[in-house]
Amino acid sequence: MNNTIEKSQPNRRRPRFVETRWNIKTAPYLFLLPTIIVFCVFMIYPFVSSFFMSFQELEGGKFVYVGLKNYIRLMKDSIFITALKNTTIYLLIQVPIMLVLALVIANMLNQRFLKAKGFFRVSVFLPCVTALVAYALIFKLLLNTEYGLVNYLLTSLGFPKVDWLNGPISAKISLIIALTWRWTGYNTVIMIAGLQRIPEEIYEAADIDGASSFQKFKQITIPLMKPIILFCAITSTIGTLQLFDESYILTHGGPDNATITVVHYLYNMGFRYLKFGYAAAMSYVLLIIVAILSAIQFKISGSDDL
Amino acid sequence: MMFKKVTILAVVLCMVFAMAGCGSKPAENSTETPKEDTSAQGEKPKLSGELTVWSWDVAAKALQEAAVNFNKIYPDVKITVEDLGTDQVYDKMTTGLVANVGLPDVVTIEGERVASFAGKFPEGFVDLTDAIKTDDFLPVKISECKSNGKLVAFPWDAGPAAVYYRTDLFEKAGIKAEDIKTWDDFIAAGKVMNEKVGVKMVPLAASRNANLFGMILNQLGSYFFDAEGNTTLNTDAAIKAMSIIQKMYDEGITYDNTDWDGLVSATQSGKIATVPSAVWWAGTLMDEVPDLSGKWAVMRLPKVGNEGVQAAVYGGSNVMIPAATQNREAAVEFVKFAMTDMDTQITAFTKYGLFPSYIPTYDDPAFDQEVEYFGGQKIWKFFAEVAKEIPELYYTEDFPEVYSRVIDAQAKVTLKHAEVKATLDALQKDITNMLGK
Amino acid sequence: MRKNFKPGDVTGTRLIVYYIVLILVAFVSLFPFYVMFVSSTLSTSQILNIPPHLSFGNQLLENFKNLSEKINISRVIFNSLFIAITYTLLTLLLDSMAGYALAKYEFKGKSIIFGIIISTLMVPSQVTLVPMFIMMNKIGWQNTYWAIIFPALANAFGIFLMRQNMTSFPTALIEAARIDGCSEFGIFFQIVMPNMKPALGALGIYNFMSQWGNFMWPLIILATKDMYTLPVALASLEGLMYKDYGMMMLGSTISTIPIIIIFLIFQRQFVSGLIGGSIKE
Repeated sequence: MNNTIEKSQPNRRRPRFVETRWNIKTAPYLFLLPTIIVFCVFMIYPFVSSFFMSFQELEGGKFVYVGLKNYIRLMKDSIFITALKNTTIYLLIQVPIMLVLALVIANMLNQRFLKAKGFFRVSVFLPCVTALVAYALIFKLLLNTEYGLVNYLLTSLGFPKVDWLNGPISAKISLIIALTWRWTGYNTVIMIAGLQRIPEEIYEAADIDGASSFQKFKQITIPLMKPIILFCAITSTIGTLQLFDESYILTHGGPDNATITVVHYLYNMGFRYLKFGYAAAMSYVLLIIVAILSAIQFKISGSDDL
Repeated sequence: MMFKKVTILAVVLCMVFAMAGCGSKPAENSTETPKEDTSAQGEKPKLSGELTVWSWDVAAKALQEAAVNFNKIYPDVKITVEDLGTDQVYDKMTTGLVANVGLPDVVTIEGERVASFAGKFPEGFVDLTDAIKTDDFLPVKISECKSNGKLVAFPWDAGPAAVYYRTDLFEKAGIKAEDIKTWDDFIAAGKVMNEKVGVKMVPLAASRNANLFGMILNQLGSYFFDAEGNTTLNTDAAIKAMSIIQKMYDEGITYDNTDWDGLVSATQSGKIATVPSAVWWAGTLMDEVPDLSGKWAVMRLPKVGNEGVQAAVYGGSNVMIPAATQNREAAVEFVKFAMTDMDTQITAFTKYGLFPSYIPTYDDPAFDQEVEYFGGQKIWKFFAEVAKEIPELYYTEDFPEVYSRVIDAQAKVTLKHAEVKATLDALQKDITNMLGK
Repeated sequence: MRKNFKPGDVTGTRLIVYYIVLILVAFVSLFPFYVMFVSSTLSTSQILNIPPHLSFGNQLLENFKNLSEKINISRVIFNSLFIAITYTLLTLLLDSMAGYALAKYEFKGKSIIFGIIISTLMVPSQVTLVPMFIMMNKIGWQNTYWAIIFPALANAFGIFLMRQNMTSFPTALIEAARIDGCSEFGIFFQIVMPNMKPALGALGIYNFMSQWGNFMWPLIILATKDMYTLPVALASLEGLMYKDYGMMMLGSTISTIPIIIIFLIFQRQFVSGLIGGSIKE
């Protein structure tokens, strides 16, 4: 797609637009200038300096060079590997569920004859803006093993109680539920914005051809939404790989590290155990993993989308 | 032309933030890095300047009152107490220490964290060895405040532990508190409690905290580390303590409270018969569970077989002075005052429930009160007795990380029914590999 | 303005099914908020009671009194609003400019710049905290609004979103404007930006929201109470052994309301973007 955008055909340009030509060359740099400055100062510089930190460790109040020690320890760190596994599980299970839900809900909310759209949109969107204190407390109350509402409903339907926040598997499920609750609406809103950009005429033409709404969804909505879906998939993937809040406040990473995420472990290392060098090394390994995963997603979805 | 205007606007906007960036730099810079050493170094008795204190809830309030009292003697010292919340204090201390800027003059730190901060930043805190009369403080608190042979923190509130129990439920189950001599007796009583009353004996957040394990270990005069900082997690004491935890869990007498809120709500709704905890739990009971007034009492921690003592520590905090302070003298003087002034300490205790570790305070009439909530029991005197018997214990800079590994091990022996000795051996091996000792 | 019925529009039973599903979704989404609102009128022991209270209590004033004793509510709200609004406006401008450049121009270094920007999405913010803190102290920005606003302007997400949207903007329109003598900046502001309202709306909400909830960095860089933002002030309410949940829930409620209002405003922007003509190739 990119190549088709800029058909700069110099022969068509008339001499009196000389200043325009000058503009075309410099304009992108001027447009990008503030962004580049901001990125260099507030992103790349601190990140590069944490790269140096990954070869150092805090000893006696000062950072001393330790070579590859942090990276070597990382390869043998069973908790880091557990954290990677947990994160992968969240990624493989939670992200697809959430994206499908978001697309379905967005599609429902985009129906012309639906009333109270505003209400539904706001209510679906709200979970991602909850204050963390409230989010944590409410989910802990709802998922309480003995007296939580969820177990109350389960038992009244004849199912056994589930130890939501303490079982190695159920704690993961709780985390996935909480995550889905919090972020589905957010993706829904982005998808609505995408859906609204699909010209109605395409649907009208399909209607005239007598397409069912499932056919329309499959043949028109999904292909035309591909860039937006990809966008949501990538941001959700990155969000999941950087997951911190839920593990930190809901399960404290437990039981026995069954729910800990990489960034939670990284935070513990840096801010709780004061091993900043080790934490920095961990972040670089994480970065490589994210980069590989994103590349795969681009590949799978077809590289011409970006 | 319209387009031109827009272009200009855009360029101007870009420049505005570029300038906002550069413009405020020098101005702010001069107010920052304050080299304006206002504390005159020559004259000692006259203290002046400003002190910033970081703390949390009741401790912050108590320090605020301490500042008022302090100002009666030293009116020229302006003290600002920032109530940040516990985790926030640690996060800010951590970044501040690494960057060596933006630190307060005085900060409260929990007992178990002192060694961690002071170990990682040996030059980061003022040496208070000369300011503290060690005999006046509980030995356990002094051992908490020590790092590399120096006293780097001023001991403040202590957390002598005991077993809080519901007298009404005990009566209902036909259990007599004085018959519970050992943890085995305690577990047996728990089974009776289960059968006769249907209430769980003891809260245990198996996968969240290892406080009870720590207390039992402390009773045996041991802890995660020895005095030299060697890891001691597969000692006989550790195995015994962890076995007690496992047995409690296996016998089904534990209530999984998951966390603090869960503990409070379980207590409120009468789901647990005892809470082994520290003196500050009394304050929580009185504030949060007023309905159960008169139904609680405290007893000594049961013994481990016939070993150890019936006292242990759980929680409590200390006060540290970052070495980066611009006003060291005033900071030291303030902390010394706040921690040893009788009135200040007694107010902190009676008003905010901060149980002093400054031994002379125990003679105050405040400790001799009969506490109505506990059926007239003189619990403060009781805890003062407990406090003096607590064996010393040692933390190291690696405590937070080791503690989280201990919780993992506890989750293994309870939730996953792993064998205690094998689990602790593996834990010990892991940690010695990691720390080299 | 309602358009006429067209064949294939969802109506009748199917619409009813949609309503049922959406009401269910709305219930699940809103229930925890209901609990939060209710809890802000209860005392802590009522909140932690089992079974929980689900009806409004009479502790609202008491909670408010406690809250305003602990934090300067209006000041904290002002700080949060100022930071979030300034940030949102600046970042919308920056992101659109960058997104436009990356979508509609061919120039040297384009893919490298885009690649670097996108890869910063993957940097966990915890990693840059310490170096950034040291830097901010060097340039004397600690405890300022700018220290919070500026680092967040490095917003790869926003640039990515705007670029995605700009890509589908018809190149022919830009070319035509160029031939008419429009300057490059003119094209951007007069022709492209007005068509970006839905995307700007969505991104505006996102940016506002992320800045509104920004916690870790403001906590570390803000030093005095008068500079605190809402999340930092809320976190400071949490005690070591005692949590006044009634007060904290009221604080959470207060911090949530502006977000609801902002979202309601941008809602309309979405709709007007829709009516104002979707972009057609």
